[in-house]
Amino acid sequence: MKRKLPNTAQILAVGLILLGLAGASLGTTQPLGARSWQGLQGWWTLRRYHQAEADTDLPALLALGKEHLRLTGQGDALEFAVYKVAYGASGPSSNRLPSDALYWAQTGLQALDTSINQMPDPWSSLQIQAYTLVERVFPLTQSPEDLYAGLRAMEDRLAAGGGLAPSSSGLSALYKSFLALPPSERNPFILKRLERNIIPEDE
Amino acid sequence: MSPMLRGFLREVLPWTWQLFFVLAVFTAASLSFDASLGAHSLGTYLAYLSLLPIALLFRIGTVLDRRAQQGWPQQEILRDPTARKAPLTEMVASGILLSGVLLLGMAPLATGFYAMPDASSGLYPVHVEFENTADGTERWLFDLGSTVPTTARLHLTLDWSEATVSAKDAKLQAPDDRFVKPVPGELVHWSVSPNEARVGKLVLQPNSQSGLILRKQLCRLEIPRPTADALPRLLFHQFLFFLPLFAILLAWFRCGRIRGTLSAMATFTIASLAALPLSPVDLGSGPVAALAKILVLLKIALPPVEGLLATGHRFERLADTTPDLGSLSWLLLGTLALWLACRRRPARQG
Repeated sequence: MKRKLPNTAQILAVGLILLGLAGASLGTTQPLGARSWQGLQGWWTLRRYHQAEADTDLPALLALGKEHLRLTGQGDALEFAVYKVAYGASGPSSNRLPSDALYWAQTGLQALDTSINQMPDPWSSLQIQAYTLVERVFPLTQSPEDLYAGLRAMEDRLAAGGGLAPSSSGLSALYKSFLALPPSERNPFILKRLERNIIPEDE
Repeated sequence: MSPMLRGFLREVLPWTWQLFFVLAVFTAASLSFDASLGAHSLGTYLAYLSLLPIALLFRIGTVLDRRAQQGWPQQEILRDPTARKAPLTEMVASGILLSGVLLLGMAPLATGFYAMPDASSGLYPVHVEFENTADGTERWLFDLGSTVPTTARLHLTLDWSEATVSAKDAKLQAPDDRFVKPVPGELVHWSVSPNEARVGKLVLQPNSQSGLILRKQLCRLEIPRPTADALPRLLFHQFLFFLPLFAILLAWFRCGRIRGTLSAMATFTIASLAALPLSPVDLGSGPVAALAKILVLLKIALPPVEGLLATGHRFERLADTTPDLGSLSWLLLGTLALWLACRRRPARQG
């Protein structure tokens, strides 16, 4: 059989491939099998993430945590990266200059804040945000307004969201008693609760 | 087994390729289920497995090419005036190979080398829009993004700090009169009805002037992930997805009279279109967007079978969302392609 180029079917096939490429370039489509590639990328990103953790490369840890969230939809890596960067790297045991410690605390919080919409389980990361604000940012900035504004957002989310899964019923009662207070007494109430129950021992 | 069938099977998958497939399946299982190395995701494993039928598709394309170069099409016509025997044999062989490959996919779990991850749930952000009517009632419109399984649940976070309605009277109601009573400080759980799951949209209405604030950022859609006993069903869905593609490959090759590898690429493109989950994204304007819009139109013309190929880390979102009619029309399309492949075409002159 002698083959002539091009015939209708060939043009159609090539056209379909071009269309596929156009769709893929828009990011709205992915060719068959791309999810396997994505899975492999996610796996490789996690390996690099562990390497960055071993190297204590903090910016890379945050970046790879975000990348892992994008590729696999799992927020655990980013959550731990934020814990390491915002809470760990700014703590007294890290022996950093105050300005340096504040920088890392705020960088970590910012990374979490920009990704909270993509985090599959946003409630568990709020606790880290609250710890960091109260224990790391506030002692360095000494700005109660910033702390109240931050905590206001935290308590909105944490209490309104039913809190962390294991403590849901307790937080429900807490939230009801919080609502029973006049607005001026609400923030001190939450701070008192945080001091009494949630803030752990210094690392 | 007829010698023709045996010959085709041997030509497509010699022992080197068989070894490659076995190694590929166990590597996929390691990357997915290994205690320290793996992704702990059944969806990732299914994604790796879906590469094997694609490899098979291209492998068959190569064999068809080789046979065309050896002059098989002419011999077929000389030996069999109806010219049905060869394409039918090739189709049966493809079915056997496909089912063999997918059964092989069950081996790492069936032999007990690997264990499935614990059953968990996928949680997804949800797009919410607020709508206020003239009489002061508010409506919350939730866009789930696509068709979702009927097991899905919506978790809503309400802020009560400015609520004017008491916890006793508060109520969230759907247009079909189903309702849920929210409790302060607890997540509101809403089970998606079959109709809402099919459309991928739902509407909730709080009490009039209730002052309840919905935290958009924290709305999540929970979909339970299929457990270990769902693996055979999910693999059968992959079988249903890929089987008509082999018929389409044969039809491209015989009716289009193009090379086998090019037929495989064209089939691959059609399969990519069929597996494309449509999302309500505004494509904008411009030449590339115009191409993408044509792509979406072509996708709509194909049966909605993207749920059959539920793979990747968000596979639970797609699994079991394919309507029976969609699967049937996809199989019908395959039958049509096979009929086209079996039609005798006069040899091209010159």
